[in-house]
This record gives sequence, structure tokens and C-alpha cells, in this order.
Amino acid sequence: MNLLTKTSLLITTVALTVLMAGGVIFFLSTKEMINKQVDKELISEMHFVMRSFDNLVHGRDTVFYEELTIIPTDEIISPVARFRDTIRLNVFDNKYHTYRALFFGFRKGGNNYKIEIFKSLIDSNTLIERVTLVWIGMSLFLIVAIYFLNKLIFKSTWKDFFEILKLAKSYDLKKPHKKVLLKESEINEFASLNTVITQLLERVERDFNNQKELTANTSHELQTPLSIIRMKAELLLQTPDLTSEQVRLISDILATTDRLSRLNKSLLTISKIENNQFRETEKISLHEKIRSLAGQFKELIDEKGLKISMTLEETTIEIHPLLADLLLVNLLGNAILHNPVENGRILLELKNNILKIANTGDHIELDKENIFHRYFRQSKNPGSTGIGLSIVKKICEYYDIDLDYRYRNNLHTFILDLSSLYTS
Amino acid sequence: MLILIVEDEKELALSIRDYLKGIQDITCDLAPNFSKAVELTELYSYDCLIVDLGLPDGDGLEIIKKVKTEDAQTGIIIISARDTLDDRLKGLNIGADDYLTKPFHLSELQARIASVLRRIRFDGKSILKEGVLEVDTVQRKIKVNGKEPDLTKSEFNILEYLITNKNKVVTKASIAEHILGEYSDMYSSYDFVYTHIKNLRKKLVELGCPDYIKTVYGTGYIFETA
Repeated sequence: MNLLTKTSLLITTVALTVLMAGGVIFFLSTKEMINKQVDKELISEMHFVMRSFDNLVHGRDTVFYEELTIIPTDEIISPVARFRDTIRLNVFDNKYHTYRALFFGFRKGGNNYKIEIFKSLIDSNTLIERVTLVWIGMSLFLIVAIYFLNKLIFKSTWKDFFEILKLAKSYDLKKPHKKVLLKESEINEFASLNTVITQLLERVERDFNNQKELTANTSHELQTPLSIIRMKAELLLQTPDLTSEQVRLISDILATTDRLSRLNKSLLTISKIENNQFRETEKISLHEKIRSLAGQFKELIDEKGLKISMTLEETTIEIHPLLADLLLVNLLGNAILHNPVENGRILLELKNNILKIANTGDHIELDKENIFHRYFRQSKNPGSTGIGLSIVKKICEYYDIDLDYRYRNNLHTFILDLSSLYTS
Repeated sequence: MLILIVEDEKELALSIRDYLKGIQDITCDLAPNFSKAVELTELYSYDCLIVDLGLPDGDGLEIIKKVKTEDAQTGIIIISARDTLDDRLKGLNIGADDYLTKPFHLSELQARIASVLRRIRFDGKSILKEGVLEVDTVQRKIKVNGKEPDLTKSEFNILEYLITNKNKVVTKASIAEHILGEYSDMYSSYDFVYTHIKNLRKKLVELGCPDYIKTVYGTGYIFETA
């Protein structure tokens, strides 16, 4: 339920209840007022009747008029006026109507009479009916008016709020070039909401940047010590008369240092992408790039005895050249690295801006949720640092490339939709 | 041959010097900062400068500019942690002969120095001689006892690499990186290096060349003349 519906519903419910209660009270009090008026009239008529009793009776035993009955009685009835509501047949239209009646006992010439005066309520009932109708009509009008008024007020007062909401929704931490600019609001609450959100975003951004800087700085600072270790190990390897055991140890140090260097380099690359350091783009013919890359990997493809088949349509995209390299090298490299030595195949297809890189490999589908995460490694392949695909993912995110993984017929396929980079 | 290493990281500079020390007639000077480098280049005429760009008191590029205007015959190799294409182009445009990204193998640096020096001082030394073996680094061909065996591109590159680092243990990883460039990262094994070297040795020995290339306990190779 949205805010407008909720408030509208609430306001209408409250208004309806108030109007209904008000209606009942109004109805009752009107009726009461009319009754009082009628009673007053009846009392003045009672005095009139008492004054002109003889004229009215006129020697008759009983008087039976439409609005007055005088009936002799043996009972002794209190001379105090009492009221009651009753129904009587109206002689004019021969219908029963409600009447207000006043009765009292009267004593004249040793006889007791019960005198009752009636007053038709037909007029006052009509009045109440009319009043009620008007009331209901007014209430309906009021509710409709309240509904629309609420909508109107809602729109004008909450306008800033929805603007803030829209901007906050469009905020993407990973795309710092799409900064959120919040508008000033003249409503205090929204102004402070604005401030709070701005501060929050600033803090999030600051933390994010600190995090990024930490990674970037750490990787940068690690380069030199890594270089030193590597060089010292290389120098150590030049020592004359080393035993095979010593050479093996040095070689292990070198291999591990290389691995660490690779990892570090990848981390540095990721933080560079995150830091938006690859803004420039160039037109690159992707099919040529893939071909030349496949050529560069020839040594390894041949060594593993892999069969590579390429179906490449001419495609030109706009991308940073280094990121294009990284993207393809990591994908193709993975396709080679995780390929079994016997009867391995690699299929490269570029068609309608869709790039598919498929390779044979372990007969297990990769965990789609996790393969793009840093350091996630499904295979125990010593050559993999577990970071290649997260670089691929980062680049895809950076360029809004749709990246998908599929496993079918023992082919692990990575599918990239490069439409966002297409250039004619 | 006089080489100046401009590098603020002492251990790196020392390692480079130690490695180069064992090769031919190389003498190395060290400059740990910009001002020292300027001072030394004014005093001596170096054959080759190895320059780190990020110095504490100045930009390495300025030294290169200065040296190149004074003596264009000086070979210059940039060693830098910055690895973007922009940085590379900037360095090469200013007059550097080569650009090596840190971390690098010392054997690779040695090969680059040799290559730069050959290019700069083009005085017939483009042919590396080792007994009956002649390696023509310009024609990219070799001769053994006057005969020219057919080497593949990789085999030639490996041979050239080993010869420039002769009597040094060169690791398989460094050979792989030398012939494959930056993508050698992707390789999980260096078996192809073994294959190439096996073929190379066979071709050389068949023509009566001594078997200079020795395996070092499965870790690397050495072109041994001593």
C-alpha cells in the first residue's frame, strides 16, 4: 500500500465516522428540538382548551375531533400534562401518521375528563427527512472533496520526498560518475532527510573510497618488496655449486613470489577499474583482437593439444584497449587453463555483438553464484589465482556488459552481450 | 661499459648491480635520487641508464630528457611500477629505448640492456659469437660452422635470451615471459619451454656445436661457456 492510498483511506474513514456520528447527533437533536417546539404548542393549546372548555364541549358528552378528544372518565387522572407519541388515522388522506399527544385529567362540574390534544408530526418529519438528505449529500460531497484535497495536498507537500526517493534509488556506489544531487526542500523534515541522506552517502562513499585506496595502496606498496624478494632469489640462484635441494627451494620461492605478484597485479587492476582510471575509449575491431590473442596463446593451445574453432563476425566496439585485453585474456586464458589435456576444445563465436567463449572442462557445472567472486576457485589448478573472472566481472559491470555462464553438452560457456559497446 | 642505475629502492638497485656485475665488462654506478643522478650524468658519460620514474625528489623522465639532449648515444631503459600504455608511450616518446614494468626478471633486464646497447652502438656487434656459434640479432638467424639451421621464432628468441645471460641460471618462468610477453601469466606449466629447448639443443648439436645449454635441476637453464 502506498502512502497516498494509506492516508486517503485513513482520512476518508475518519471523515466518514465523524460525519456519521455528527449526522446521528444532528438528527437526534433536531428531532428533540422539534418535539420541544411541538410540546410547547401543545401546552399552549392545553391552556386554550381549559379556558374554553365549555365552548368546546358544548354540552356534549364526548368530543372527538381530529386533534382533540375529550372523554369523560371515572378514573381520576392527574391534571399534570403528560406527553406521548402515537399513531392516528388522518381523516383527510385516510392514512396513519405519527402524532405527538398531550393528555391530562380535567375536572369540571363534578365530572372527570381525560383530555388529549394531538399534533401531527407530518411536517416536522418531512423537515427531518429533508435535513437528513441534505446532510447525507453534504457528507458525500465533503468526503469526495476531502479525498481530492488530500491528493492535491499530498502531491504538493510530498513532492520533494519523492524526488529524494527517486534520486536515492538511482544512486549507484559503483558508478561514482553518476553523483546524486539532492534538491533543497522548504519543508524542514525533508530538508533534514536530505541532509541525512547526503551525509550518509558521503560517509558510504568515503568508506568505499578508503577501502579502495587501501587496496590500491597496499597492492602498490607490495610491488617493491615483491620485486626485491624475486631479485634476491634470482641472485641466489646464480650462486655457484648449489645442490639440487637448494635450487628446488629457490625455485619454489620464485614460483610463489610470481604467484603473489600476479595476484597483486590483478588486485591493482581491479582497484584501478573501481577508481575509474580507464575512462578513455578507442574503437577496436574485436574479431581481429581475438584472432591475434588466439595467436599469442598458440604455444599453450598447441602444447595442450586443444582444438580451437573461431566463428567471428566483423565487430567494432568502443572500449579501453587495456580493458579489452584483460577481458579477453582472462576469458581465453581460463578456457585454456581449465581444459583437459585430452580432446579439449575451445569455441569462440562472435555474432550480433554476442561473444561466446566455450571450452570443454570438468564435467561439473560451475557454481554460477560464486565464480565471479574474488578468490573463489572451484578447481585446484595451481596456475589459477581465482581472480581472473572477478576482473572479467568488474569490466563487464563497468561497461554494462551482460555476462552469463552456461553449462551444456560438457561445454562451459561464457556469454557476453556487447551491445552497450557497439559502435557503427 | 658504464651503467647508471637510478633507483630509490636500495635493495632493488643493489640486486640489479650484483646481477650485472657478473657480465662482461660492466661497471655500475648507483643513484638513489634525482639530484645524485643529475650530478653523476654531468660527471660521466654513461653507456646505459636504468631509470626508475618515481623518485623521491623528482621525476625520472626529466633525467631522461636531459641525458638524451646531451648525449643521444646513451641507451635508456625505464623500470617502473606504472604499467599503463600512457606511461609507456610517454617514456618512449621522451627518448627512452625500452620500458620494463616492475616486477621483472633480472635476466630480462640483462637481455633488454644488451639489446639496447646493440641498437645504440651499431658497430658490427649485432652478431653474438660463441665458438662456432654465431647469432645474428638483426637478421634473426644463426650460423653453426657456417651452416644455417632453421630455428623457429621461439627457439631463436630463447637462444638469444640465454646467450645474453650466459653463465647465469635463467628460470623457466623468465624464459616463458620473455617469449610470450605479459600473457605468460596465464600459463600453468612451462612444459613448452622444455620442448623448445630440447629441439633447439638437438638442432645445434647436430651441426657440431658444443652443447652449451644445460638444465639446472628442472628449474631453469644455463648457457655455459666456462
